[in-house]
Amino acid sequence: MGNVKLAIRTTISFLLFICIYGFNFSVTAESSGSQNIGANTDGRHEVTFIRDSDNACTQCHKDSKETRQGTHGEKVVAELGRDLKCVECHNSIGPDHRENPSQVTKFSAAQSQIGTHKTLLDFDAILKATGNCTECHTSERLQEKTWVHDVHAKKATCSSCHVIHADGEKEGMQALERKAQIAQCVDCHKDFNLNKEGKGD
Amino acid sequence: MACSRRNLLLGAGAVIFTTGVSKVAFGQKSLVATQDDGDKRYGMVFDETACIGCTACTDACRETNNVPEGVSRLKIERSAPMGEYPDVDYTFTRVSCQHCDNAPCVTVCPTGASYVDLKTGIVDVHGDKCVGCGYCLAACPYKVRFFHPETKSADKCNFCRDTNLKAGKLPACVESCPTKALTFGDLNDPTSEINKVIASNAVYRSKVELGTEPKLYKVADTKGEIKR
Repeated sequence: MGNVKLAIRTTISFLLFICIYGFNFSVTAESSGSQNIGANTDGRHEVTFIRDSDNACTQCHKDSKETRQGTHGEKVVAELGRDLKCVECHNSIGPDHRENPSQVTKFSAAQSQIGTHKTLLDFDAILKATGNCTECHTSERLQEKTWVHDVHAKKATCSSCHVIHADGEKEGMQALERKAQIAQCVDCHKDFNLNKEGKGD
Repeated sequence: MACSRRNLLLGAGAVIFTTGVSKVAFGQKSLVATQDDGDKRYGMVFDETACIGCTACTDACRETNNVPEGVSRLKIERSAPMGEYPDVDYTFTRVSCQHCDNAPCVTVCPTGASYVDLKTGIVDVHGDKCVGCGYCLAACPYKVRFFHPETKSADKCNFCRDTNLKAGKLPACVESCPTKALTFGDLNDPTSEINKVIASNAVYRSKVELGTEPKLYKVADTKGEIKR
Protein backbone atom coordinates (compact mmCIF):
# COMPACT_ATOMS: atom_id res chain seq x y z
CA MET A 1 0.00 0.00 0.00
CA GLY A 2 2.81 2.29 0.97
CA ASN A 3 4.47 1.49 -2.32
CA VAL A 4 1.37 2.56 -4.22
CA LYS A 5 1.23 5.89 -2.38
CA LEU A 6 4.88 6.41 -3.13
CA ALA A 7 4.31 5.66 -6.78
CA ILE A 8 1.42 8.17 -6.98
CA ARG A 9 3.54 10.76 -5.24
CA THR A 10 6.44 10.19 -7.61
CA THR A 11 4.13 10.40 -10.63
CA ILE A 12 2.56 13.65 -9.41
CA SER A 13 5.90 15.25 -8.74
CA PHE A 14 7.15 14.06 -12.09
CA LEU A 15 4.14 15.58 -13.87
CA LEU A 16 4.62 18.80 -11.91
CA PHE A 17 8.21 18.88 -12.98
CA ILE A 18 7.24 18.43 -16.62
CA CYS A 19 4.64 21.19 -16.35
CA ILE A 20 7.08 23.63 -14.81
CA TYR A 21 9.73 22.71 -17.34
CA GLY A 22 7.27 23.15 -20.22
CA PHE A 23 6.08 26.52 -18.91
CA ASN A 24 9.62 27.65 -18.51
CA PHE A 25 10.35 26.67 -22.10
CA SER A 26 7.36 28.58 -23.47
CA VAL A 27 8.29 31.67 -21.48
CA THR A 28 11.80 31.68 -22.90
CA ALA A 29 10.43 31.22 -26.39
CA GLU A 30 8.02 34.11 -25.94
CA SER A 31 10.61 36.41 -24.48
CA SER A 32 13.04 35.72 -27.28
CA GLY A 33 10.23 36.49 -29.77
CA SER A 34 9.19 39.66 -28.02
CA GLN A 35 12.76 40.84 -27.99
CA ASN A 36 12.68 40.91 -31.74
CA ILE A 37 9.44 42.83 -31.91
CA GLY A 38 9.66 45.24 -29.00
CA ALA A 39 13.29 46.19 -28.92
CA ASN A 40 12.26 49.83 -28.95
CA THR A 41 11.99 52.54 -26.24
CA ASP A 42 12.06 51.69 -22.59
CA GLY A 43 11.90 47.94 -22.84
CA ARG A 44 8.21 47.75 -21.98
CA HIS A 45 6.35 44.91 -23.52
CA GLU A 46 4.41 46.12 -26.53
CA VAL A 47 0.93 44.76 -26.89
CA THR A 48 -0.36 44.26 -30.40
CA PHE A 49 -3.61 42.83 -31.70
CA ILE A 50 -3.13 39.40 -33.13
CA ARG A 51 -6.74 38.79 -34.04
CA ASP A 52 -6.88 38.28 -37.76
CA SER A 53 -10.20 39.05 -39.42
CA ASP A 54 -9.13 36.89 -42.34
CA ASN A 55 -8.70 33.94 -40.01
CA ALA A 56 -12.09 32.48 -40.79
CA CYS A 57 -11.43 32.72 -44.52
CA THR A 58 -7.96 31.25 -44.48
CA GLN A 59 -9.16 28.20 -42.59
CA CYS A 60 -10.48 26.92 -45.90
CA HIS A 61 -8.92 29.18 -48.53
CA LYS A 62 -5.47 28.35 -47.32
CA ASP A 63 -3.33 29.65 -50.15
CA SER A 64 -5.35 32.66 -51.16
CA LYS A 65 -3.76 34.99 -48.65
CA GLU A 66 -0.30 33.96 -49.81
CA THR A 67 -0.90 34.06 -53.53
CA ARG A 68 -2.40 37.52 -53.26
CA GLN A 69 0.99 38.91 -52.26
CA GLY A 70 2.21 38.95 -55.84
CA THR A 71 -0.24 41.58 -57.00
CA HIS A 72 -1.85 42.99 -53.89
CA GLY A 73 0.89 42.66 -51.30
CA GLU A 74 3.62 45.15 -50.49
CA LYS A 75 2.47 47.77 -52.96
CA VAL A 76 -0.93 47.93 -51.29
CA VAL A 77 0.62 48.35 -47.86
CA ALA A 78 2.85 51.10 -49.22
CA GLU A 79 -0.13 52.90 -50.72
CA LEU A 80 -2.82 52.36 -48.11
CA GLY A 81 -0.63 52.02 -45.06
CA ARG A 82 -2.28 48.73 -44.19
CA ASP A 83 -2.90 45.33 -45.65
CA LEU A 84 -6.02 44.37 -47.53
CA LYS A 85 -8.53 42.08 -45.90
CA CYS A 86 -10.43 39.42 -47.79
CA VAL A 87 -13.79 41.11 -47.31
CA GLU A 88 -12.64 44.39 -48.81
CA CYS A 89 -12.91 42.78 -52.21
CA HIS A 90 -14.96 39.66 -51.57
CA ASN A 91 -17.91 41.19 -49.78
CA SER A 92 -21.48 39.93 -49.25
CA ILE A 93 -20.17 36.89 -47.46
CA GLY A 94 -23.08 35.62 -45.42
CA PRO A 95 -23.18 32.91 -42.76
CA ASP A 96 -24.46 30.41 -45.30
CA HIS A 97 -21.64 31.27 -47.69
CA ARG A 98 -20.57 27.67 -47.97
CA GLU A 99 -23.99 26.60 -49.13
CA ASN A 100 -24.64 29.51 -51.44
CA PRO A 101 -21.38 31.05 -52.59
CA SER A 102 -22.99 32.95 -55.46
CA GLN A 103 -23.62 35.88 -53.10
CA VAL A 104 -19.93 36.43 -52.62
CA THR A 105 -18.28 38.95 -54.90
CA LYS A 106 -16.03 36.84 -57.02
CA PHE A 107 -13.62 37.81 -59.73
CA SER A 108 -13.60 35.60 -62.74
CA ALA A 109 -13.07 35.98 -66.46
CA ALA A 110 -16.16 37.20 -68.27
CA GLN A 111 -16.96 39.28 -71.31
CA SER A 112 -19.90 41.03 -72.88
CA GLN A 113 -19.53 39.63 -76.38
CA ILE A 114 -20.23 36.03 -77.10
CA GLY A 115 -17.30 33.87 -78.11
CA THR A 116 -17.05 30.15 -78.47
CA HIS A 117 -16.45 29.26 -74.83
CA LYS A 118 -16.06 32.26 -72.52
CA THR A 119 -18.49 33.33 -69.78
CA LEU A 120 -20.96 35.97 -70.90
CA LEU A 121 -22.11 38.88 -68.72
CA ASP A 122 -24.05 42.03 -69.43
CA PHE A 123 -22.53 45.52 -69.12
CA ASP A 124 -23.99 46.16 -65.67
CA ALA A 125 -22.71 42.91 -64.25
CA ILE A 126 -19.23 43.60 -65.61
CA LEU A 127 -19.18 47.12 -64.19
CA LYS A 128 -20.27 45.72 -60.85
CA ALA A 129 -17.48 43.18 -60.89
CA THR A 130 -14.83 45.71 -61.88
CA GLY A 131 -16.18 48.30 -59.44
CA ASN A 132 -14.12 46.83 -56.61
CA CYS A 133 -10.96 47.22 -58.65
CA THR A 134 -11.65 50.69 -60.03
CA GLU A 135 -11.95 52.12 -56.54
CA CYS A 136 -8.17 52.04 -56.34
CA HIS A 137 -7.29 51.51 -59.99
CA THR A 138 -9.11 54.63 -61.09
CA SER A 139 -10.09 55.17 -64.70
CA GLU A 140 -7.46 57.92 -65.00
CA ARG A 141 -4.72 55.60 -63.81
CA LEU A 142 -5.90 52.83 -66.07
CA GLN A 143 -5.98 55.11 -69.09
CA GLU A 144 -2.49 56.27 -68.29
CA LYS A 145 -1.26 52.68 -68.33
CA THR A 146 -2.87 51.74 -71.61
CA TRP A 147 -5.81 52.76 -73.78
CA VAL A 148 -6.88 49.12 -73.88
CA HIS A 149 -8.42 49.55 -70.42
CA ASP A 150 -10.75 52.21 -71.80
CA VAL A 151 -12.24 50.12 -74.56
CA HIS A 152 -12.77 47.11 -72.31
CA ALA A 153 -14.24 48.96 -69.34
CA LYS A 154 -17.72 47.62 -69.99
CA LYS A 155 -16.75 44.64 -72.04
CA ALA A 156 -14.52 42.45 -69.89
CA THR A 157 -13.80 41.90 -66.22
CA CYS A 158 -10.31 42.67 -64.90
CA SER A 159 -9.68 38.99 -64.32
CA SER A 160 -10.23 38.26 -68.00
CA CYS A 161 -6.67 39.45 -68.49
CA HIS A 162 -5.15 39.87 -65.02
CA VAL A 163 -4.38 37.34 -62.30
CA ILE A 164 -5.50 39.10 -59.14
CA HIS A 165 -4.15 36.47 -56.73
CA ALA A 166 -0.83 36.15 -58.51
CA ASP A 167 1.77 34.08 -56.77
CA GLY A 168 4.93 36.11 -56.27
CA GLU A 169 5.90 36.99 -59.83
CA LYS A 170 3.49 38.90 -62.03
CA GLU A 171 1.13 36.73 -63.96
CA GLY A 172 -1.41 37.22 -66.70
CA MET A 173 -1.18 40.24 -68.98
CA GLN A 174 1.51 42.02 -67.00
CA ALA A 175 3.92 39.13 -67.26
CA LEU A 176 3.72 39.02 -71.05
CA GLU A 177 5.94 40.62 -73.64
CA ARG A 178 4.35 43.11 -76.03
CA LYS A 179 4.04 40.50 -78.76
CA ALA A 180 2.37 38.02 -76.46
CA GLN A 181 0.00 40.74 -75.29
CA ILE A 182 -1.05 41.33 -78.87
CA ALA A 183 -1.59 37.61 -79.20
CA GLN A 184 -4.09 37.92 -76.34
CA CYS A 185 -6.08 40.51 -78.32
CA VAL A 186 -6.03 38.23 -81.33
CA ASP A 187 -7.14 35.21 -79.31
CA CYS A 188 -10.34 36.79 -78.03
CA HIS A 189 -11.27 38.81 -81.08
CA LYS A 190 -10.66 35.91 -83.41
CA ASP A 191 -12.92 33.89 -81.17
CA PHE A 192 -15.79 36.33 -81.76
CA ASN A 193 -15.40 35.88 -85.48
CA LEU A 194 -15.30 32.12 -85.19
CA ASN A 195 -18.50 32.26 -83.23
CA LYS A 196 -20.17 34.53 -85.79
CA GLU A 197 -19.20 32.14 -88.53
CA GLY A 198 -20.57 29.25 -86.52
CA LYS A 199 -17.24 27.50 -86.37
CA GLY A 200 -17.19 27.36 -82.60
CA ASP A 201 -17.63 24.09 -80.81
CA MET B 1 -2.25 84.95 -143.94
CA ALA B 2 -1.96 81.17 -143.70
CA CYS B 3 -0.03 81.37 -140.46
CA SER B 4 -1.87 84.17 -138.70
CA ARG B 5 -2.17 84.03 -134.94
CA ARG B 6 -5.94 83.63 -135.22
CA ASN B 7 -5.65 80.55 -137.38
CA LEU B 8 -3.09 79.00 -135.13
CA LEU B 9 -5.32 79.40 -132.10
CA LEU B 10 -8.32 78.04 -133.96
CA GLY B 11 -6.32 75.06 -135.09
CA ALA B 12 -5.06 74.36 -131.62
CA GLY B 13 -8.58 74.59 -130.27
CA ALA B 14 -9.76 72.16 -132.90
CA VAL B 15 -7.05 69.67 -132.03
CA ILE B 16 -7.89 69.82 -128.35
CA PHE B 17 -11.61 69.55 -129.08
CA THR B 18 -11.34 66.56 -131.38
CA THR B 19 -8.90 64.60 -129.22
CA GLY B 20 -11.10 65.25 -126.23
CA VAL B 21 -14.16 63.98 -128.06
CA SER B 22 -12.42 60.97 -129.49
CA LYS B 23 -11.37 59.93 -126.01
CA VAL B 24 -14.94 59.93 -124.86
CA ALA B 25 -16.31 58.50 -128.09
CA PHE B 26 -13.93 55.57 -128.34
CA GLY B 27 -13.56 55.01 -124.59
CA GLN B 28 -9.83 55.54 -124.71
CA LYS B 29 -8.10 55.22 -121.40
CA SER B 30 -6.65 58.21 -119.66
CA LEU B 31 -3.09 58.17 -118.43
CA VAL B 32 -4.33 57.17 -114.99
CA ALA B 33 -6.25 54.19 -116.23
CA THR B 34 -3.53 52.75 -118.45
CA GLN B 35 -2.68 50.45 -115.60
CA ASP B 36 -6.00 48.76 -116.17
CA ASP B 37 -4.23 46.98 -119.00
CA GLY B 38 -2.43 44.80 -116.50
CA ASP B 39 -3.70 41.35 -115.67
CA LYS B 40 -4.37 42.40 -112.14
CA ARG B 41 -4.85 45.63 -110.26
CA TYR B 42 -4.34 44.84 -106.61
CA GLY B 43 -5.94 47.01 -104.00
CA MET B 44 -6.97 46.82 -100.38
CA VAL B 45 -9.88 47.78 -98.19
CA PHE B 46 -9.27 48.74 -94.59
CA ASP B 47 -12.41 48.56 -92.49
CA GLU B 48 -12.05 51.12 -89.70
CA THR B 49 -15.23 49.85 -88.08
CA ALA B 50 -13.68 46.41 -87.65
CA CYS B 51 -10.16 47.41 -86.61
CA ILE B 52 -9.50 47.02 -82.89
CA GLY B 53 -6.06 48.64 -82.95
CA CYS B 54 -4.26 45.52 -81.76
CA THR B 55 -1.39 46.09 -84.25
CA ALA B 56 -1.02 42.40 -85.00
CA CYS B 57 -0.74 43.51 -88.64
CA THR B 58 2.26 45.76 -88.06
CA ASP B 59 4.09 42.97 -86.28
CA ALA B 60 3.25 40.45 -88.98
CA CYS B 61 4.49 42.88 -91.64
CA ARG B 62 7.70 43.45 -89.75
CA GLU B 63 8.43 39.76 -89.53
CA THR B 64 7.41 38.78 -93.02
CA ASN B 65 9.21 41.58 -94.82
CA ASN B 66 12.15 41.91 -92.49
CA VAL B 67 11.43 45.50 -91.52
CA PRO B 68 13.74 46.59 -88.69
CA GLU B 69 12.66 48.48 -85.59
CA GLY B 70 12.52 52.22 -85.95
CA VAL B 71 10.94 52.16 -89.40
CA SER B 72 7.64 50.71 -90.49
CA ARG B 73 5.79 49.85 -93.67
CA LEU B 74 2.50 49.87 -91.89
CA LYS B 75 1.23 51.90 -88.97
CA ILE B 76 -2.08 51.87 -87.19
CA GLU B 77 -2.90 55.37 -86.07
CA ARG B 78 -5.05 55.72 -82.97
CA SER B 79 -7.24 58.73 -82.29
CA ALA B 80 -7.39 60.62 -79.03
CA PRO B 81 -9.84 59.15 -76.49
CA MET B 82 -13.45 60.11 -77.07
CA GLY B 83 -16.02 60.13 -74.29
CA GLU B 84 -15.99 59.54 -70.56
CA TYR B 85 -15.28 56.38 -68.59
CA PRO B 86 -16.69 53.73 -68.97
CA ASP B 87 -17.69 54.74 -72.48
CA VAL B 88 -14.35 55.83 -73.89
CA ASP B 89 -13.82 55.08 -77.54
CA TYR B 90 -11.07 55.37 -80.12
CA THR B 91 -10.85 55.20 -83.88
CA PHE B 92 -8.06 53.56 -85.81
CA THR B 93 -6.81 54.06 -89.29
CA ARG B 94 -4.17 52.51 -91.46
CA VAL B 95 -1.15 54.45 -92.64
CA SER B 96 0.65 52.61 -95.43
CA CYS B 97 1.36 52.81 -99.16
CA GLN B 98 -1.82 53.56 -101.08
CA HIS B 99 -0.49 52.02 -104.30
CA CYS B 100 -1.53 55.00 -106.38
CA ASP B 101 -2.33 54.37 -110.02
CA ASN B 102 -0.89 57.81 -110.63
CA ALA B 103 1.93 57.63 -108.12
CA PRO B 104 3.90 60.85 -107.48
CA CYS B 105 6.82 58.86 -106.06
CA VAL B 106 7.19 57.09 -109.40
CA THR B 107 6.89 60.31 -111.43
CA VAL B 108 9.62 62.08 -109.50
CA CYS B 109 12.12 59.20 -109.23
CA PRO B 110 15.17 60.20 -111.30
CA THR B 111 16.55 56.68 -111.68
CA GLY B 112 13.41 54.66 -112.30
CA ALA B 113 13.85 52.83 -109.03
CA SER B 114 10.28 53.62 -108.04
CA TYR B 115 7.89 51.98 -110.42
CA VAL B 116 4.38 50.65 -110.83
CA ASP B 117 4.35 47.00 -111.72
CA LEU B 118 2.04 46.94 -114.72
CA LYS B 119 0.99 43.34 -114.20
CA THR B 120 -0.27 43.89 -110.68
CA GLY B 121 -0.61 47.65 -110.19
CA ILE B 122 1.66 47.37 -107.18
CA VAL B 123 3.96 50.33 -106.56
CA ASP B 124 7.41 48.99 -105.77
CA VAL B 125 11.07 49.97 -105.54
CA HIS B 126 14.08 48.50 -107.35
CA GLY B 127 16.46 48.59 -104.42
CA ASP B 128 19.55 48.41 -106.60
CA LYS B 129 18.47 51.37 -108.72
CA CYS B 130 17.69 53.62 -105.76
CA VAL B 131 20.34 56.27 -105.15
CA GLY B 132 18.81 57.48 -101.92
CA CYS B 133 17.98 60.99 -103.07
CA GLY B 134 14.80 60.98 -101.02
CA TYR B 135 12.74 62.68 -103.72
CA CYS B 136 10.04 60.00 -103.45
CA LEU B 137 9.86 60.41 -99.68
CA ALA B 138 9.16 64.10 -100.20
CA ALA B 139 6.74 63.60 -103.08
CA CYS B 140 4.52 61.05 -101.36
CA PRO B 141 1.42 62.86 -100.09
CA TYR B 142 0.73 60.01 -97.66
CA LYS B 143 4.20 60.11 -96.05
CA VAL B 144 4.60 56.35 -96.02
CA ARG B 145 8.06 55.96 -97.54
CA PHE B 146 11.25 55.59 -95.56
CA PHE B 147 14.88 54.63 -96.04
CA HIS B 148 15.54 51.05 -95.07
CA PRO B 149 18.36 51.22 -92.49
CA GLU B 150 20.04 48.09 -93.88
CA THR B 151 19.60 48.33 -97.65
CA LYS B 152 19.78 52.15 -97.58
CA SER B 153 17.20 52.30 -100.34
CA ALA B 154 13.70 53.76 -100.26
CA ASP B 155 11.24 51.24 -98.89
CA LYS B 156 7.51 50.88 -98.32
CA CYS B 157 4.63 48.42 -98.45
CA ASN B 158 4.50 46.37 -101.62
CA PHE B 159 1.59 44.15 -100.60
CA CYS B 160 4.16 41.49 -99.61
CA ARG B 161 4.89 41.12 -103.32
CA ASP B 162 8.21 39.36 -102.87
CA THR B 163 7.25 37.44 -99.74
CA ASN B 164 3.70 36.28 -99.06
CA LEU B 165 2.20 37.01 -102.49
CA LYS B 166 5.07 35.18 -104.15
CA ALA B 167 4.33 32.21 -101.92
CA GLY B 168 0.68 32.31 -102.99
CA LYS B 169 -0.54 33.70 -99.69
CA LEU B 170 -2.37 36.88 -98.77
CA PRO B 171 -0.32 39.83 -97.48
CA ALA B 172 0.89 39.29 -93.91
CA CYS B 173 -1.31 42.04 -92.48
CA VAL B 174 -4.43 40.54 -94.02
CA GLU B 175 -3.54 37.07 -92.78
CA SER B 176 -2.87 38.21 -89.23
CA CYS B 177 -5.90 40.46 -88.70
CA PRO B 178 -8.14 38.84 -86.07
CA THR B 179 -11.21 40.88 -87.01
CA LYS B 180 -10.85 40.60 -90.78
CA ALA B 181 -10.66 44.35 -91.14
CA LEU B 182 -8.53 43.97 -94.26
CA THR B 183 -9.62 42.77 -97.67
CA PHE B 184 -7.04 42.35 -100.39
CA GLY B 185 -7.73 41.53 -103.99
CA ASP B 186 -7.92 42.33 -107.66
CA LEU B 187 -9.85 45.50 -108.45
CA ASN B 188 -10.00 44.46 -112.12
CA ASP B 189 -12.00 41.36 -111.28
CA PRO B 190 -15.64 42.32 -110.78
CA THR B 191 -16.34 39.13 -108.84
CA SER B 192 -13.46 39.56 -106.37
CA GLU B 193 -14.11 39.88 -102.65
CA ILE B 194 -12.58 43.36 -102.57
CA ASN B 195 -15.02 44.65 -105.18
CA LYS B 196 -17.90 43.18 -103.19
CA VAL B 197 -16.72 44.92 -100.05
CA ILE B 198 -16.30 48.23 -101.90
CA ALA B 199 -19.74 47.88 -103.46
CA SER B 200 -21.50 47.11 -100.18
CA ASN B 201 -19.84 49.76 -97.98
CA ALA B 202 -19.47 53.52 -98.00
CA VAL B 203 -15.76 53.71 -98.73
CA TYR B 204 -13.36 56.63 -99.05
CA ARG B 205 -9.80 57.09 -100.14
CA SER B 206 -7.28 59.53 -98.71
CA LYS B 207 -6.53 62.75 -100.60
CA VAL B 208 -8.30 61.78 -103.83
CA GLU B 209 -8.39 65.44 -104.77
CA LEU B 210 -4.67 65.21 -105.54
CA GLY B 211 -5.42 62.91 -108.44
CA THR B 212 -3.08 60.18 -107.27
CA GLU B 213 -5.78 57.52 -107.64
CA PRO B 214 -4.91 55.53 -104.53
CA LYS B 215 -5.94 51.88 -104.33
CA LEU B 216 -6.29 51.74 -100.55
CA TYR B 217 -9.96 52.05 -99.77
CA LYS B 218 -11.24 52.67 -96.27
CA VAL B 219 -14.58 52.00 -94.64
CA ALA B 220 -15.03 55.03 -92.40
CA ASP B 221 -15.65 54.59 -88.72
CA THR B 222 -19.05 55.90 -87.71
CA LYS B 223 -17.61 57.79 -84.76
CA GLY B 224 -15.15 60.64 -84.84
CA GLU B 225 -13.72 62.44 -87.80
CA ILE B 226 -12.48 60.85 -90.99
CA LYS B 227 -8.73 61.31 -91.18
CA ARG B 228 -7.96 62.12 -94.77
